[in-house]
Amino acid sequence: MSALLELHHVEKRFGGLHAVKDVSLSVRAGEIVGLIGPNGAGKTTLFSCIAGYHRLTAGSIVFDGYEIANHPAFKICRAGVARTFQVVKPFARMTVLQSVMVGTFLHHRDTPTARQSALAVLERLHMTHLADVEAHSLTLVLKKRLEVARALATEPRLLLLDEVMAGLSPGEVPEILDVIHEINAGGVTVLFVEHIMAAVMTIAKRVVVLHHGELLADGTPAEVSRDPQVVSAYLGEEYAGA
Amino acid sequence: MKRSTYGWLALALLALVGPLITDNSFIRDMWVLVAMWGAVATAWNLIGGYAGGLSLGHAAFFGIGAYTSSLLYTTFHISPWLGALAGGVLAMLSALVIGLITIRLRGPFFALATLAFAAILGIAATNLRWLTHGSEGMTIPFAPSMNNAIFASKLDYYYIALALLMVFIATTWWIARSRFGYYLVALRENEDAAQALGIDGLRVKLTATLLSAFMTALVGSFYAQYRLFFDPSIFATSLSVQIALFPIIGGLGTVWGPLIGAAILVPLTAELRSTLGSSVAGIDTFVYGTVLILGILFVPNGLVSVLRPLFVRRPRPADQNVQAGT
Amino acid sequence: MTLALFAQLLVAGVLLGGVYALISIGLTLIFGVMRVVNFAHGELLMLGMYLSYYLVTAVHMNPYLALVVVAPALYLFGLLVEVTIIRSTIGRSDVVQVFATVGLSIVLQAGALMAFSANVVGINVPITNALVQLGPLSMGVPQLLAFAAAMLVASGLFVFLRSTDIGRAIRATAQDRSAAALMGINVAGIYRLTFGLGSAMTGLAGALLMPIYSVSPTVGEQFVLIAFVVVVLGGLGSVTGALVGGLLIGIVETFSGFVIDPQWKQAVYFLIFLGVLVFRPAGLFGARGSEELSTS
Repeated sequence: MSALLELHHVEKRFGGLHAVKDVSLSVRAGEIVGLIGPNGAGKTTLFSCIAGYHRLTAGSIVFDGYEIANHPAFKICRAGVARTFQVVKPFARMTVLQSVMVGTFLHHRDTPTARQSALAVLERLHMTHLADVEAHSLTLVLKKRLEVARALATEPRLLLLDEVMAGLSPGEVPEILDVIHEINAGGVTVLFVEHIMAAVMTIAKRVVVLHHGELLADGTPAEVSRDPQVVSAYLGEEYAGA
Repeated sequence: MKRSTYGWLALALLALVGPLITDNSFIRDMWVLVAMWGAVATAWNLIGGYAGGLSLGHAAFFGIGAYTSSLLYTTFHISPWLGALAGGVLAMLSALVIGLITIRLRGPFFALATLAFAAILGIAATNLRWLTHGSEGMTIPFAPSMNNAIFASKLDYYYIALALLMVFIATTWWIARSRFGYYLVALRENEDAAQALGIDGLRVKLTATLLSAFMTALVGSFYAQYRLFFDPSIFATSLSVQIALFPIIGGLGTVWGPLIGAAILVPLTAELRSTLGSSVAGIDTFVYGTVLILGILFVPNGLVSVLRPLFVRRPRPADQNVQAGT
Repeated sequence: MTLALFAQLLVAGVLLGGVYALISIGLTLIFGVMRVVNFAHGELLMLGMYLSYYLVTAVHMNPYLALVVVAPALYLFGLLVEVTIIRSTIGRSDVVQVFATVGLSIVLQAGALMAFSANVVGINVPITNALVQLGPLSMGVPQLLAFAAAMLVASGLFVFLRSTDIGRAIRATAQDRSAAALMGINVAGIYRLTFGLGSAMTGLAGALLMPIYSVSPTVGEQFVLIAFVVVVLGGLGSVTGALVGGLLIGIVETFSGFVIDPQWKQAVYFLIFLGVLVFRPAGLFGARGSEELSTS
């Protein structure tokens, strides 16, 4: 399979802070790739660069053969890249169904079709019973799921998931993992940031590790978890911080 | 027929024959003014209510409409019907310029910038005497005819205003159910998230602003033809505030809210002005302001949110499809 | 333009700028701490002017002595407004935030119309026309005093925010409301105090303007837009910015009033205003300045 997303020497500085340093990475169509790293490693920044929310300091990002770096967010979405937000951004006074329709409208101009399509998305995410609930009254866990539903509604080819499992109880994790598996089985490539290691290890075929903005490792979950650099940098800090 | 259908029929009947009940000039004026301000408020609501852009400069578009049709009529004898369209186009052009400048500003800053825009036009209208007659104002000679869009009877004005109002409300109703309307609300609720779903925020908001400006200018031309006199105070901040007040009191971002706000506030303040205004100057605006403060603090979703439960009964199996008329 | 004329215009501009800075400091303080854009700011100024007017004409008080009554009176009025209206707008939507103070502005203006009538009135005591001659330059005494007061108020506020416990608490609240609350700062109290202080300064400005300008119920409209121009130019929330912004606008207005028709001069600073909002929304002194109350 060919590369769907390619990052070449991506750099991002905020004033004196060097958030992302020379990251090159490629994601093939159909993959599920996990992006991990300690807090402040630059994961969310890297996501925001890909999705068009930050301008790159240097480097290039190619999606499906087209340069998308520094394009406005809405164009990147239209190209087929959808994202969720780590800090959820619900449309507070819209219902769940309406929120998802905002996404399905991208490919379905008329309201009845957009509604049908949104209902199908809700069903995939087991949210049908919440269709008429206003977004602001959802729990954080459900708001995170709504983020996924909205992103999926734009029918992306690449889905960027930013910590959608944070805050879930252990019992709830398998359900969302199944959902992600289904999404992937439906032909959507997934790149996700996650803190729950067990989840990353079960679902990702490949794991990329960021540390201090740099790419530290890239391999199968088994390889990465054995990498001594990763163990000391990521796991070490994680446990030290706990 | 469903009970709601009877309700709509009664409302339509009231709108059509209500003004015929009495030929009292004050009361007929009320009908015209409610329809007229309801129409402007509906236009404002597109950008202010649905898209969340709190314009305090809509008097600019209103004034552009009034001045354009009146100047074309008094100078070149172009029918105000055409002049109104020209005013609408000019308002859209100015909305494009000011929109490109201000649309990314948030909340209070958008309000301030639009306020400054209308203020600049007010200064221009005062000082460009060769064009606008300055603070003497514009007087349109009373020469009633269809072509001149000047009528002897207030009823004619009323049905024109009603037509504008109905077209604007229908437009809003249609937008609220369309992709465009969903996009406006999404942008209002969270611009970042909306962009992530492929929405070109600038383009969508600008489109709404242009449409709103066009509609507002049409009513501005109507106002000029109805009053046959106006001056640069047509650009005043107080007018912009008043335009925004109706939807806020009635229900922001709802189809009927702006009209409900106008239907309550216009007669209320006119009554206050005629009964108390002569003895205590300022009491009408005092009440206006008080209503605004109390409304915004205690009924921020407008009267629609209070009225809706009265009209939408708890759904029974038979009429679960009945939706709120908003 | 001769050098003497240039100097005279510059001096006039600087003095006018002092007046503008004076009327803007309260606005910027309230925004900096509470994130409240007070659309009723001009009406606070108007109240200060009327109070001073009646103290001078009815009680025959010296207009500058009237300050000691006007400032505390407006402080109390500010507290009242904060408790009844402003408090309930904090943290709510933009609509509530904007239109609550817009409504207050309408109420105060109409209230003034009811109480004082629409007549434009002014005070006429000897000091209002007093001039100081400095070589070829002449300066109005009330203008000089207003300028001096602006400097005093700004530096006093600066010192207060820097070196008193309450001042530091205000700055902490401005930077991060919830962190301040966690540190044990009474945020509601700080807000009340800030709004009171901002109102008092605005009332003080009103009293200082009374020997220079006439007052009417709508006088606030003339000044509030200038005040917004000044604080947006200087960076909303920045006290120093208000000072510099005021001076800049004063100088620009004086010179543009000389070069172009004075009736257009208002349009000039509205254009500046739009320009600043577009190109430098944080103002000249607000690198992230609209985010923080900066005393730098």
